[in-house]
Amino acid sequence: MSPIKLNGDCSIYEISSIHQQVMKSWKGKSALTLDLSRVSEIDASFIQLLMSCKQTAEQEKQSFELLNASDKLTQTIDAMFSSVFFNPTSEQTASKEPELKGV
Amino acid sequence: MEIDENLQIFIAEGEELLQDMEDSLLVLENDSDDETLNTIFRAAHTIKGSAGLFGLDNIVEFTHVVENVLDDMRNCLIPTSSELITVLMRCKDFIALLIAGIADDVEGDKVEREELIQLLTAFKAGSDQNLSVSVEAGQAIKSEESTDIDSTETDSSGSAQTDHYHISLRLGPDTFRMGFSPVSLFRQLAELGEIVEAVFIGEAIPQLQELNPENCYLGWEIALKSNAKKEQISEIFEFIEGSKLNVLPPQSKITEYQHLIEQMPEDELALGQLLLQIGTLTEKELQSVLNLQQENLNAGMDPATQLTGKLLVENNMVQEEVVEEALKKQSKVRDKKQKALNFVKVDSSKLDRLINLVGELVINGAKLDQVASNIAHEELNETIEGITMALDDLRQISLGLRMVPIGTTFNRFHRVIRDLSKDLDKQIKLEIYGADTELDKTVIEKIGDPLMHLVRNSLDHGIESPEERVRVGKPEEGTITLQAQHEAGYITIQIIDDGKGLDPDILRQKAIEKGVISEDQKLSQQEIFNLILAAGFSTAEEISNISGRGVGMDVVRRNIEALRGNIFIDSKLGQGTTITIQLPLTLAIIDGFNVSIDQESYIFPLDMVHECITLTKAQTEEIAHHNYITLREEVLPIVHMKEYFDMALGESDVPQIDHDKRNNLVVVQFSGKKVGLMVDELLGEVQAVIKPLGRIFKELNGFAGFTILGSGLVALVLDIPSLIKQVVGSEHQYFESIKQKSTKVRGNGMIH
Repeated sequence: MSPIKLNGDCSIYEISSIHQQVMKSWKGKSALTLDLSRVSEIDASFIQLLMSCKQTAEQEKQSFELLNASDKLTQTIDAMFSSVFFNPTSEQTASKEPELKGV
Repeated sequence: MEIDENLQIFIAEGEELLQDMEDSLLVLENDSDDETLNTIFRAAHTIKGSAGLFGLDNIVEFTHVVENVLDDMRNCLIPTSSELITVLMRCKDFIALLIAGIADDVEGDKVEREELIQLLTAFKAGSDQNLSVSVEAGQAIKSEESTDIDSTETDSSGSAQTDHYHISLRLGPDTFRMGFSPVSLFRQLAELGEIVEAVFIGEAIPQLQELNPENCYLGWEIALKSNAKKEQISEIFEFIEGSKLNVLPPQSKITEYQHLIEQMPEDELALGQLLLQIGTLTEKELQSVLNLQQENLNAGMDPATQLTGKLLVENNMVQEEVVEEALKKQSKVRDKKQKALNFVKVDSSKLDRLINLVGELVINGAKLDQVASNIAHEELNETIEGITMALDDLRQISLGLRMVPIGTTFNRFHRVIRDLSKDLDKQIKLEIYGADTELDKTVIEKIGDPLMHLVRNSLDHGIESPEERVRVGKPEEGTITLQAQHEAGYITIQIIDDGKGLDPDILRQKAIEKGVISEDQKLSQQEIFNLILAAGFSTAEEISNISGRGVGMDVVRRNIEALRGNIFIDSKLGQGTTITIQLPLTLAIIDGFNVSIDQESYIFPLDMVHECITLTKAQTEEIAHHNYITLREEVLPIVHMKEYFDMALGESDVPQIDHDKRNNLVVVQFSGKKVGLMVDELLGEVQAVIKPLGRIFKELNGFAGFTILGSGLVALVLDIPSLIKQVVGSEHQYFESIKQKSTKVRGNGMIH
């Protein structure tokens, strides 16, 4: 199954349509992969959406993956969204120095 | 240590809790159920908590050890055994000693303390083995525990040790729409200090289908090291509507963390772990919080709490110490609330004042009544009648305030009997009847010791060993019955045992040996039994440590007589002994019957007046010949009161009976014995406030006190029991007593 490519900004302004898009493409499939290589800007609402995806995948026993996440995104997630939920090895994350770079 | 009001409450509550504990321990011995264990545990727990509040470290430390064992019992790690209950009973006693010793800074017997702790540790070690933890480990826990206690001492405020702010943030749903970015919020926070740790809370985020992507579901638990003020931190989040924010400054109270956990919607246990992870709370502190939780959910009733319970056990309950502050406060407040619903605690001296005032009212009411009857004004009389009725109720109620059921006193004997029967290798059960019978508090307080003595006597001398009992065809288990009941203004308390009974011959022999009676003295069976109440009389061949030193029984008798009470002994050899104590219901105000004897007023306690009769001529004749009449085929001894007092005054030796005058007889009854008292006039019922006679009348027997009548005159209140005793006694004693009286009453005559 081919990854879904998200384009351009992924922020609160676009989030509803992205939500629809993700739901549509996930429907009837057993896995979801999001390619973030062409994403230019994201905000917390997008991260929230990703988390919802992750949660849904866990619930449905499906897989959910991110491709080409930028360092920025990973860092933000590490700094702000390190949770048992998103990152089961949060203790390791906890030992990292949090970085708070603007997204 | 200075005892302030709060401490006093603690002491009083402690005593109650310990009593609960003891009662429950006794129940537990026969019937182990969770609720009973919980009661015991809660009692220990509350005492520990409250003691910590006052910095009574020795109580805290000791109770803690007890509590640990109790908790293991609750978790079925230590089986309930008779031995364990005995140890716990001793622990309860020891705690009671510690609490009683607070005022004097008594630390308690170190040896006993050590021994108890060792015993408890042994039980606990057993449980640790169950947990497949070695005894050594158990000891390691012990030592760890003591350091824990030390740390509690230095940190008695119950605060967390953390040096950073803890911020709980749950963003409102409109956060994104309003243009706030969590990232920028974080940046602002970072400007105030160092974000040590931030844990994202994503549980609120719904699944994709239910997700409203524009809503914000995000939350964080943040640890911030900062010197900023709390307000500065709150300000950052000020404009985000619908958000939940909780900023806890460094070293907040454990309760606040607990509150935080409760407030937040997420699973409590997970949240607790989170705080730990962030480093806001140490493991110890987290446990305190979780314990609080447990406490709140009421001791293992809820499945969620059981989970917490397990966690605690896994983490070794010992570290629970940190709880103190918060915990005790909580449970204290809660306990108090519960109690306040049922009872109001009043200083007993206030009650005494109330009763005194009511007494004054009664006296003046009677006076008023008399004045009004002289005036004979209808309206006035009606009003006074109303007042009198209300006054009567007031008197009843206010006296009732002092009434306490005797059950509490009786129940203490469960323990005594349990312990002593073990010591003596006897099997004894206690039966209690009439526990609801109420008695004046002062009387109850003073009756405890004599009762204790009597019960111990019954246990020690009365009930035989099981072998002996079987040999004589009695059930192996002996029975001691304590019963109380009302009887004509008196309360009777009986201690009945089905033991071997008293042997009158041996008693008599002993009495002669000890010089209590002379060899040729004739005594009735009853009198022989009463000998054991005489000073310096012990029948036990062997002096045990329980009773039989011969100092007790006469003290018992004196105590009871000091309460205007009486003690009787009845026994059947081989069948058992019954000791009956009769006590007046109250010491303050009585319904009296006013009579005049030789122009003077005297009061008989009304409840002892059986009937009043006017003597017929034939009866008067009869009295002239001997001191009794036959009333309804019963012989009734007669005391000619005037003669009694006259004789006492030594003015006349010849009985003077005026045949032409109406001769009134008041038949009084006490403990089944009736005596007719001949008086001049019957004046009717009065409410008499008994005032004690002054010290100069200390030696005066036969009078219970005096009272002031409505007319303002003083009337003596007759002590019927002692009067009857004198009359019904043997001729010899009677004569003796009259002689004694004569010297004593002579002094009294002067106030006439």
